[in-house]
Amino acid sequence: MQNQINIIVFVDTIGALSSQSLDKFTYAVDNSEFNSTGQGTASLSTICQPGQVIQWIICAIDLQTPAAINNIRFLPVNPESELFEEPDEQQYVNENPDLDVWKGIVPATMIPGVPYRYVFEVVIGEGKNSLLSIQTLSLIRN
Amino acid sequence: MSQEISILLLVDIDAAIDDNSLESNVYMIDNLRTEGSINECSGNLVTAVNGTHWQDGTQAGEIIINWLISTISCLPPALPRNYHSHRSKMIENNTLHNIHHLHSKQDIETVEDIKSRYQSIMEEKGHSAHVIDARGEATNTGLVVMDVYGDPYHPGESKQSDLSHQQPVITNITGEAVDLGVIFPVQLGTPVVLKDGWYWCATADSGKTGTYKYTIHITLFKLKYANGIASWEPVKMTWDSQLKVTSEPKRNGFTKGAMSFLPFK
Repeated sequence: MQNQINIIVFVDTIGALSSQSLDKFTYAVDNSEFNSTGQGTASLSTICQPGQVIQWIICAIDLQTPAAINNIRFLPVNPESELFEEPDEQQYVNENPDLDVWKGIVPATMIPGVPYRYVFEVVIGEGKNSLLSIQTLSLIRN
Repeated sequence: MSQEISILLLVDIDAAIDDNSLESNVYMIDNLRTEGSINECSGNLVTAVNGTHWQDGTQAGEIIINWLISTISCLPPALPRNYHSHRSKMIENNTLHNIHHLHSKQDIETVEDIKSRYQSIMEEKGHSAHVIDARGEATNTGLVVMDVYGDPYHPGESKQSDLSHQQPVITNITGEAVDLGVIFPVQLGTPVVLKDGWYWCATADSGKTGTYKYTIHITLFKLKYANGIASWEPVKMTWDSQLKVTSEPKRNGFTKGAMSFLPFK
């Protein structure tokens, strides 16, 4: 089993800013050995195992327009209660997102076969329109 | 936020040549005002170079600095690269057309009229610019000296401020920041119009934190008329600027400290 899975999220920053949405301008791929689904789309489901390290990396397709990960927030997994509630209002996590390395270990408590959706927040430049997010990415235990 | 650093130099060429100095005649702007650069759009710009490093001290992110230079008075730099030569060719064709149809003008009656009209046509077409090479010899560029509206520039008749200057060029970047290995400048080719085929860029070593001076070597071009020939004469100047290099350690995005388990809910 590989120790680390990288999830690379490519963002068409100009397209995303122009439309104020990441939906059609996000392309996520991973290198999981467990046949993740949705490769190259904004609906990537990464198949993983407890103990593996997951690292998220963002790449702006337009090299001169900066993009950084502002936050990654996991949504509740109980489909009966909170899954479809709107997540908290997004906000700047810190002043310098360049410092953050977004990686963590998959806990043993992860339920097999259940998608753990997460809010992937991207910050492009500054200002009230700079924060964009998608909620269609997920992790699934093999 | 990590991004390429662009530093734009705008030069008031008329004033710089009059003063024989770039002091008060150069304006520097970069794209890091919100990241800590100070004195934007002045000659005293201090560019923030915000680096990051891993826990072992090695540099975490790549830093690219680009320098662009332009003059305040010129044809719009967004025009196609061949605009000047295309426009010069049009002016030449127009001149030939006018000469060809000289005899058909109704007010032409005598040989003197023809001479006068011919003289007028030749004056209207302006001057073709020459450049002075290192040996001091003038070479005809075939490009008409123009005003900022794309019409022939006539010294004494057109306003001096309307002259479309030859774009200044950066010829070198030296100084403390280079000598100490903080930046590694190089000139590269590019198809980008504003950069006129060439531009200077550098990578930076953000491990060397502090404020460092560097010197930009700039060549301006002064328009001279002698013996009926217009020529762009190079005038070499330098300008000092500064880089403020900082570096902060990387950390885990979830914990703001060391890596841990993913925060599932």
